[in-house]
Amino acid sequence: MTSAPLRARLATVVLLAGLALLPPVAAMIGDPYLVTLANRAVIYGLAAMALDLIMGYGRLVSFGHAAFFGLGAYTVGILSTHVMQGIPLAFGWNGSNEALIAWPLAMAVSAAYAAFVGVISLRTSGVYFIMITLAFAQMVYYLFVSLPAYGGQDGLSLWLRNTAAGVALDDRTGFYYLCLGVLVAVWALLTRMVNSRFGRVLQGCRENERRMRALGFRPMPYRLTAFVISGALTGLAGALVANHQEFVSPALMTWSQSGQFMVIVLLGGLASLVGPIYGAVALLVLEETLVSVTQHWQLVLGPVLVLAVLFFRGGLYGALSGRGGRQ
Amino acid sequence: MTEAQAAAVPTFEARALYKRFGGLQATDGLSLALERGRVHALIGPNGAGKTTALAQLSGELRPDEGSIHLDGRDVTALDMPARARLGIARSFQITAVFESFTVRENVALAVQSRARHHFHFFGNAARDRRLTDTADAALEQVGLADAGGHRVAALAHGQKRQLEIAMALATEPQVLLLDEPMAGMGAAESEVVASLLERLRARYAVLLIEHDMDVVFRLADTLSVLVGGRLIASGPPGEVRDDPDVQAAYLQESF
Ligand SMILES: Nc1ncnc2c1ncn2[C@@H]1O[C@H](COP(=O)(O)OP(=O)(O)OP(=O)(O)O)[C@@H](O)[C@H]1O
Ligand SMILES: [Mg+2]
Repeated sequence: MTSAPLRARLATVVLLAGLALLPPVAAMIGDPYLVTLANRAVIYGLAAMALDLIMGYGRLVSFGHAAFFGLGAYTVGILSTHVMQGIPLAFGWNGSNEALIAWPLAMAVSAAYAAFVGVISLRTSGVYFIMITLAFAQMVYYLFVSLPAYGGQDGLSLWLRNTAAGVALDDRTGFYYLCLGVLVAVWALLTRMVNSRFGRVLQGCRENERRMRALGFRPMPYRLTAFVISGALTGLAGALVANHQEFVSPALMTWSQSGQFMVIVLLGGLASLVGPIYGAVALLVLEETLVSVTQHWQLVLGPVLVLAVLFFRGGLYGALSGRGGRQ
Repeated sequence: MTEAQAAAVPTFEARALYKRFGGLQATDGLSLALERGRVHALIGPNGAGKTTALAQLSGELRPDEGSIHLDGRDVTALDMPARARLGIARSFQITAVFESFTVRENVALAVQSRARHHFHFFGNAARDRRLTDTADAALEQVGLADAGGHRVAALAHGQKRQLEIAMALATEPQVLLLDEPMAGMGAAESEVVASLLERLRARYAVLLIEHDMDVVFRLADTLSVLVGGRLIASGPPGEVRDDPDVQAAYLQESF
C-alpha cells in the first residue's frame, strides 16, 4: 500500500502519453489501423483493471469475468437491434442507441448479475471460488448461444454505433479518445477507492481474514461490494467493445476470454490497477509481433506468457517499481 | 435486572463450557470469570486447552455446551465479529497481522474497526488523522513508536508480537483476551508489555494466558490452572502455587 517510486510513475506517464499521442502518429505514418488496435488494448485494459480490483486487492480470483464483459456488450447490442427492427423490447420500449442510456444500463445489468453470482460464490474461497465463477459464466455463455432471437452462436451485428448525447461515435479517433478518457477516469476512481477506508478493509480481508473477524469485520459485504463494482466496470468495457467491433457474439463470454483478462492482470502487475494497462498493451504487441513472424503464434504466446508471469512475479509494473516479489 | 444485581455480575463470564474434538475432550466443564480492573491468568501445560478456551470466549469456536455472558448478557450465540464489536478483543498465540501493510496501517485498521461501517470509498485512509494519530498513540504505548512506517514483513518476531498487542488495544476493548502475548519477545520487549499491562489494567477485564511465571505472579489477581481441559485450581496466585495438585501436575509435566 505504499506509493509507487518515481521510475514507475514516469513509466506510466510515458505509457499514457504514448496512448494519447498514438492517433496523430498513426496518421503521420499512414497506418490508421494502429488506432483500432490500440483501442482494443484500451478496452481490454479497462476490463482487466476492473478484475484487478477484486483479484489484486481482494484475492478473489474470478474466472468468469467474461460474462460481465459479454452482458455489457449484449446490452448495447440488444438495445440497438430493437431500435433497428422497431420491435418493442419491453413495456412498448423499442430500445435505444443512446450511450447515455445504453452504457449505464449495461453496467446495471452486469452489476445485478455480479450481485447474484457474488452472493453465492463469495461463500467459498480458493479453487472453489474459481470454479463457481467459471461455472456461472459458462451458464451465461450457453444461454446466449441458445438465443436465436439475438443471433445465437453467430452473434449480433450493430447496425450503427451508439450516439453520445446525440453525437455519433463513428469517428475512429474520437471514439478512441473517449475510451481512453473512460480508462483514465476509472483508474483515478479505483485508485481513490483502494486507498480509502473501504479499500483498507478489502485488503485486510485479503491479508488475514481471521484477524479481520477478531477486529469485528465481516468480510462478505465488502467483498460483495467490490465484486459488484468490478462486474459493473467490466460491463462498461463490454459496452465499449460492442461499439468498437460493431458486433457482439458469445465469443466475448468464453472461458478463454476470462482467462485472457487474468493473463493481462498478471502480466501487467497484480494489485496495481495501472498494471493491467501495461498488460493489455504488452499482450497486444506480443500478439501482433508473433502473428507477423509465425502462423503458429498461439503456440509460442502461451509459453511466453507463462515465463513472463513466473519471472516477473509483480508483472511489468512490479518490475518497474521494484516490487517484483510481491504477489 | 436491578442495579445491585448488575454490579454483582462479573464483567465477562464462562459457565460450564465443553468442547470436544473427535475423541479429545479439549474443554471439560470450564467456568471462569473476568472482572474489569483485574487480570485473570490462565496457565497449564502444552495442549491443556488454553487456546481452545480462549477461542470459545472470543466467539471463534462455538462450545458444545455451556454459555458465555458479557455484563449479564448471554453472548454464546454471537460470532467473533459480533463479540469484537461488543468490546471483546483478542490477540493470537501465532501472530496474525496484515503482512503487506505497514505497521501503522495495521493499527489504523484496528482503530477503524470502531466505526459502524466502512463504506467510505473516497477519503484517503493514510491521511485520515483520526486513524493515524490514534494508531501512533497505540504504537507508542507498546514501544513501537519508531516502526510506524515499516512494512510488517521487515519486523523482528518480537516486534510483531508487540504489534499484535497494539492492535488489540487500538480497538478500545472492555475485555482483553491475550494468548501468550510475550512468547518470543526479548527481555526488554517483554518488560515494556508487562509494565504496559500493569498501567492499563484498570481499564480492562484481562485474561492472560502466559507461560512466564514471573510475569504471571507480577500481574495476576487470580490464577487458574488448566490440565486436560479442566480447571484443577483457581484463586489468589499465592494459594494456587502452593496447591499440592498444581505442584503435582507441574512436576509431572516437567514444567
Ligand atoms: N481444531 C482442532 N481440531 C482438533 N483438535 C484440536 C483443535 N484445536 C486444538 N486441538 C487439540 O486440542 C488440545 C488443546 O489445544 P490448545 O491449542 O487449546 O492447547 P493450549 O493449552 O493452548 O496449548 P499450548 O500451550 O501449546 O498453546 C490439543 O491436544 C490440540 O491438539
Ligand atoms: Mg495455546
